[in-house]
Amino acid sequence: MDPPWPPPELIDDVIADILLHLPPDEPQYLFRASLVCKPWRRLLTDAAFLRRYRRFHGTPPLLGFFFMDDEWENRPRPCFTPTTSPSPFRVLNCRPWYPLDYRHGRVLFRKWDNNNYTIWDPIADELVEELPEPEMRFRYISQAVLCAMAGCDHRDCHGEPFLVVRVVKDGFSTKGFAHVYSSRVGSWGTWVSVLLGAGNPINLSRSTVVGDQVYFMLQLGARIIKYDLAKHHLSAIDPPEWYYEGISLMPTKDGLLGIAAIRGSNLHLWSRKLNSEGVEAWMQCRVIELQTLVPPVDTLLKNARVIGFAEGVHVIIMSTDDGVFIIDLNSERARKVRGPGIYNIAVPFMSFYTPGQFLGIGMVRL
Amino acid sequence: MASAGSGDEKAAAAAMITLISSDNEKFEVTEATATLSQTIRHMIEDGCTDGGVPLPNVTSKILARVIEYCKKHATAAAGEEGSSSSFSDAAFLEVDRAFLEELEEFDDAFLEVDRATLFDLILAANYLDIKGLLNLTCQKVADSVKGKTPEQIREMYNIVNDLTPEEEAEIRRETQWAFE
Repeated sequence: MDPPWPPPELIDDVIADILLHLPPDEPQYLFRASLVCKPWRRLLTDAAFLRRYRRFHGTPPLLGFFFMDDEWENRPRPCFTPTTSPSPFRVLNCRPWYPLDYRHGRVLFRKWDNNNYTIWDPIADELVEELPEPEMRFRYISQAVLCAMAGCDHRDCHGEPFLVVRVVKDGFSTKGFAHVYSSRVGSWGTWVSVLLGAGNPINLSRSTVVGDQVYFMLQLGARIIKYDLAKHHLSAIDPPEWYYEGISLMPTKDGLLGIAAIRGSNLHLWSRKLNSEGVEAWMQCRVIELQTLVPPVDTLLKNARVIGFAEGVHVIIMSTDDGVFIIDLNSERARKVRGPGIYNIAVPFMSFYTPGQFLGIGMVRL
Repeated sequence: MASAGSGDEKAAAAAMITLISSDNEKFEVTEATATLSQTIRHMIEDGCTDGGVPLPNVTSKILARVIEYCKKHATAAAGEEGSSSSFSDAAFLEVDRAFLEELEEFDDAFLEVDRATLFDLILAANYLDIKGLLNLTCQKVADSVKGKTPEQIREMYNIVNDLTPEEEAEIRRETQWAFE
């Protein structure tokens, strides 16, 4: 029989050290531990402990992804698929909003009824702001939401201030345009443009933020549009290779622009680096043989596409004829998270979810 | 190997520290091994290690284990430093991987202890401020808590439930998803 725990005054520090090691990608562990006894509960709802917990783990974990289910009563329905088991977010499905982007604790939706942009904080379960209608309406739009707080580590950001970068390009126009909404100013800023040539309109897939640059893609991955936040300037770069569809922009681990795309049964990872002549160029940094990661079904990878990328945790979201898989690029492990369906874009949701964060999530204090 | 070993290095290697456990047992260790503990490192820096370092919170049984850990990890750290200049990149990576694998195996075997010993190791790692050992032992306990119900955790670690039934019910109601 094991002896009881040593005197509490000595072990308070040690309990904190132990509970610090509970992994954030299954929030259930922390919530269960918070019901063990009062000292554990006080600790796990303590702001200083939670700051330490987030610092220790560094990267907010993937909790799930938003997407549109196209097969619901002939009209798209916003859905949320958790990647944790169990998930605190089962009720997210009922909101009649189109998910467009997620970054830094905020989801950008477009509302069903009036078509307005809406920022929602899923952790606080709070509507942050409904944005004023932008002056120019386009059919083909891509948008990015990001935190606007200088020096923020983005491990626990909520509410304001935030920015929404909106890029538009139709098939018949030769130019792409961008403007930015700032929650500090409360309005949309001036437009900037870049010449892109007629043809492909903007792709609806998710943007990527690398440093001060926000990247968007034209359809069929034809070109990549770069918006510079600091200079309010728009430019374009060519992709590394022709990928028909299902290609995703991503930030690489070393903070560069990357691309994930599938060709045949291989996942190609590209990174935009300075080459030996000091010129920015695409380099293929990794090829992952998908056949070894997914169940051995011959036809499974026939229509495989990258539909999303969870930055920070480095997880690819891939749609196949057999359903949706998430591929952890660090461990090269894949896991099926949803059955077959029509999936175009997945908006990943990465956040710490801990007791005591907000009212309604383990806020009962002692 | 360490062909460039200077006089200083040899002097450092030769410097021995005496650690004295709570039951008065003496352990002779190299400074490189002892300074994995930040607590002892500070004592050495302050020049208060003459006549041995008394560790009134650590028994000889636990101190012997802690020293075993520090010896292994101090060797690994020294090996990594030494090899970086004397091997080509590929060879270095190979050595590096072998080191890490060996270290991992050592750590796994090191953790094969009963719960009481594990707790004593955590307390010692905390008191001596040995980051690697504290992380290793705390992760082991944290892993044992994963997937357990609050009741199972209390039972495993003899923790008294001091929450009132009302408090417990309220918490469960508020975060029901976590308890299904």
